[in-house]
Amino acid sequence: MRNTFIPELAKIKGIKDETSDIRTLTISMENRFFDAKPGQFVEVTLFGYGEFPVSVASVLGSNGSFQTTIQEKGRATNGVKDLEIGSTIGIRGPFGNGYPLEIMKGKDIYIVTGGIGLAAVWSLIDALMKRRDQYGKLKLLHGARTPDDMIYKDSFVFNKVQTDKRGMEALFTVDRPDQDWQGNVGLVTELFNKTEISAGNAIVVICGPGIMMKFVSQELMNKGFGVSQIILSMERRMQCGMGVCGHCMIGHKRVCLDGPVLYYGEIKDTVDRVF
Amino acid sequence: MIAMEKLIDKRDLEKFFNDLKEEYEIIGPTLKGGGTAQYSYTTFAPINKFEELMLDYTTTMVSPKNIFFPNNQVLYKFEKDSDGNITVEDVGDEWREKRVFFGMHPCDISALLRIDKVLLEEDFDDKRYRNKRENCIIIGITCNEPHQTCFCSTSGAGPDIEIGYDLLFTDIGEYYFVRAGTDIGEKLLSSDYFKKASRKDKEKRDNQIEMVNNALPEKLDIEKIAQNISDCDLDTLLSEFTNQCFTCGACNMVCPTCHCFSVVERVNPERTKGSRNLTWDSCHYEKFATMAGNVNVRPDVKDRFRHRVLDKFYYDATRYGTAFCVGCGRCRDFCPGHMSIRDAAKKIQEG
Repeated sequence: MRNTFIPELAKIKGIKDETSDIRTLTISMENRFFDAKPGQFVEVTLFGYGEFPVSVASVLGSNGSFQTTIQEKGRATNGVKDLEIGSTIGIRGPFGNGYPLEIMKGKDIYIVTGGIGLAAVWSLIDALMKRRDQYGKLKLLHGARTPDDMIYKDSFVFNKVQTDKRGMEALFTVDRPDQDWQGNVGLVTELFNKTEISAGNAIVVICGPGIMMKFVSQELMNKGFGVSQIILSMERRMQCGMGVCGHCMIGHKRVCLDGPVLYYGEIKDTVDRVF
Repeated sequence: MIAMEKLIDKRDLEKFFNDLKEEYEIIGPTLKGGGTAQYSYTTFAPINKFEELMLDYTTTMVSPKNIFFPNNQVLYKFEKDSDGNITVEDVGDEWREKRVFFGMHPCDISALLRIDKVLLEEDFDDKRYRNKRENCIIIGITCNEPHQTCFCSTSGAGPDIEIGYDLLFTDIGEYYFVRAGTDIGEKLLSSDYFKKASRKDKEKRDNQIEMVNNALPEKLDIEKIAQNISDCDLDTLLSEFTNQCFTCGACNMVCPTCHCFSVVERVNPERTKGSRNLTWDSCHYEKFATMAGNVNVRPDVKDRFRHRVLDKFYYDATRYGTAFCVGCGRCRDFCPGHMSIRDAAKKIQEG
């Protein structure tokens, strides 16, 4: 029987600096083709530093590798800056449920993200783009602290010609602009006034810092969204990824098994603090 | 199937023990596990001589969980060579032969059945735990009298149980009344010192169980507790308890059903060689619900105490279909603040 705690070995194929403390790694498994559903996460082991959960940003189907975007936040994640191309790391997973793509079909999709939260919905944006005709309007509302804290700056979402072509509207805001910033300034909820957001036939996906997710969900409820129209990609410190270690519980929900993608309605009323 | 039921004269117990010892390693309640200057506690440990077996014990300090799911397990070792290649080695003790647990109380047996639900789940199969569970023979013993903090009847974890054991002993005076729960148990009863049990012996057993049952405190209403959890102001209800909590985690360490753990890296200064270890964790510790960037979703003592009470009586009950508190009373016994999870649950029940 397999020891479920032992990670599979994988190699770093690419490292890209997104911001001063955020990097995107391209990872290739040594012994298998990697696949994951949009919204799932993996446990990354940096041998000698520790293990941490992180969402799969994109699966590069053609060569069986995947990308994940990691911010330096603690003892284990700080080890990312010591990685080089060719370094060996460990991967367990993917774990978790992923986004309910079937339920999202035919609906307008609004994606609201903050900071590195954009990485957790990147695989979703990818999936929506592949079957663009199956979904209604698609809007991305993203906020970061400063323009320098924006990740994926060279991706298509920052290029209006590209987003128009793909039938997507992308709006950005920062808390503190720099001299070159020409976009919005303020909280991501203020972007709700810059574009039309209607509850009608829509689903909102939120991922970002707890405080931001809290205010965005409340604002959406005020706008008439139902609790089953709000989908959250939750963060917790999942240590096992298999529903046992107890670190990721929100009420009786375990974020690693029942999530990380949860409807607001599933956790809104627990006595536990959600955000 | 009607369970096989027999009698054994207490004077013959040593024979039975020695016959078992011929074939198996025996683990049971014994005093050699230590204690303090004032107290001596029994603990589950390997037993070599019959005299070491303390069947007339109240509750051990640490439950047999300690043996099935030990603290500080090495999950695997790794080594990085000068070229950066990593080798990973699966380590861990494996039981190749069956071992006998002699003298487990119903609450601890019930606790194991609950941990089975967690560690032998579809999504997660702990191979070390499975190996031990598949290689244990459980000989239980019902209690002669409840300890002052016991309340096993609340969640059906005692004083009598139907499943989880190979043999279940009950002290009925000069004899033990023995009930088999499995084929293995029936085979163990084949020796000639096990005598036929009469209806009268059975009555004695029933009376003994009934006596313990009557001495236990009133059962809690777990359904009512679950219902009140969403309707009541828990923080106010539980405030008298949370003021006494030192967040030491003793309750979690002695709890027979607590299974939360952390996985930690133990590594040399060069970070080239090390192991990943599973250590028991406590939901009372400040860092338990802390995540990246030092965000803590249960920052206050009250949040964490509430979490433990709710986890035992509501969260795990919702998830696994049974309350995870078996009423062994250990958490009350070893709490420096003398907090009782039963009193806390009762408070919620009363609303």
